[in-house]
Formats: sequence, C-alpha cells, structure tokens
Amino acid sequence: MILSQSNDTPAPSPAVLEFLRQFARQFRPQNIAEA
Amino acid sequence: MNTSKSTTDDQLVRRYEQGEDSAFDVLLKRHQEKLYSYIYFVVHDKDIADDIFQETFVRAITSIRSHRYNSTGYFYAWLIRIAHNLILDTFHQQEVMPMVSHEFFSEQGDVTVDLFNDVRMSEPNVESLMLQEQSFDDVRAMVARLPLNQQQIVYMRFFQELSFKEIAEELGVSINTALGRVRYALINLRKMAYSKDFYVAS
Repeated sequence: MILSQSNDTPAPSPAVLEFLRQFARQFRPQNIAEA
Repeated sequence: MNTSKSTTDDQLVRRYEQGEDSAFDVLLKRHQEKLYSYIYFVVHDKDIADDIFQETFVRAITSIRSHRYNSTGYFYAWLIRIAHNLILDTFHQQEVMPMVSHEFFSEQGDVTVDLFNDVRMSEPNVESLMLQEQSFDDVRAMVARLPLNQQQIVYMRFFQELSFKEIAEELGVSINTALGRVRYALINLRKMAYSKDFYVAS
C-alpha cells in the first residue's frame, strides 16, 4: 500500500527561496577568505 | 539559459560552478519540493524545516562554488546527506528525539508482518476517519524514531511512492541496500507497534 500525504504538504517559505537565489548569486569563495 | 528536463543535475552544477547563476535556480526549483517534504516529514516543524532546508542549500552553494562538489551523478542524494547531517545536529542539540539503534534488529529473522500492508492502515472507511487519522499520526511518530537513513527510505518508498530502482538511483546505493533498509525499518516499526512502552504523542 502507499501512504498518502495530507493535502497541505508544506513548502519552503518564499523568503527562504528568495534568500537562496540571492545568496547563490552573491556568494564567491573569496567571500570566506575576506570574512 | 538553454535548459531542458534532460539537462542533468551534474550539468547544471557544472554551469553554476562556472558562474552561470541561473543554473542554480533550476536546481533549486527541481529539488525544493521533495527535499523540503523529506525534511518536514522528519522534523515535523515548519520553522526548523525552513532552517535546515536553507542551510542545506547554503552548504551546497558554498561547496559547488568552492569547487568541492565531486560529480557523482547523485546530486539529490548529496543534498539529502547534507540535510540528514543537519537534522542529526539539530536533534543532538535538542536531545528530543529517541531513536531505535541501528544494530537493534539487524540480526533478526525474516519480516512476517508488513506494517504498511496491515489492513488497518490501508483500507480507510468512512466510519473510522478519525481513527485512521490517528493511525497515520502514529505511523509518522514511529517512523520518526527510526535511524535517519531508514526514515529517509521509508519516506521515499511509502510517501513519495518511488520504486526501489528509483530510490537506489537517487541515493546512489544498490537496490539490495535499499531493500535491506526498508526491511530493517519495517522490523523496527513492527517492534515499536507492539511495544508496551512505546509512547505516541497525541
């Protein structure tokens, strides 16, 4: 049998997704060295 | 960016590593739902799930851009491992999640009862909707006490409905390993279900 999930399966918050998209664009390895 | 469904994860990782930012957006969109669902399934808390989800991708980003991602063809399995370690760290800090030890039932005999094939779990009826809902919560609570690699595979098999072949491919393990983990998970769940001192939160 397959267990089904509830209809309101949670999703990552939009704020988190936007943060990750921005972080992905801004992160450069030298950021660590400079920190 | 020229991207289609046939573009592999590793191709996207390589593009992102080389500076093509939009490749990351595709990776995020491709995996966000199932990764988040898995994390939430384990931790049962939206705020904690958000934190772990975010930190998982932050670590992925820093690893890729620092050229520390080794292409294996199993990007999602790699994400899962990062999330898995973060979940462990979280519960180590909080010390709130008792788990069945890995070795506890590993030398037991064959499984004779498949919890997920139990008619009480599989045949919903109108008269027992509330009971069924409670049973579902009970199963989730029991799964939460399994070792994390067993939680993960139970989730993929019974909640995400993946085949053993798909699970093996996503995790980068053999089909036999996937089968073995489910087997031990079911043995553990069976033991918990019949254990007198198992406490299920309401």
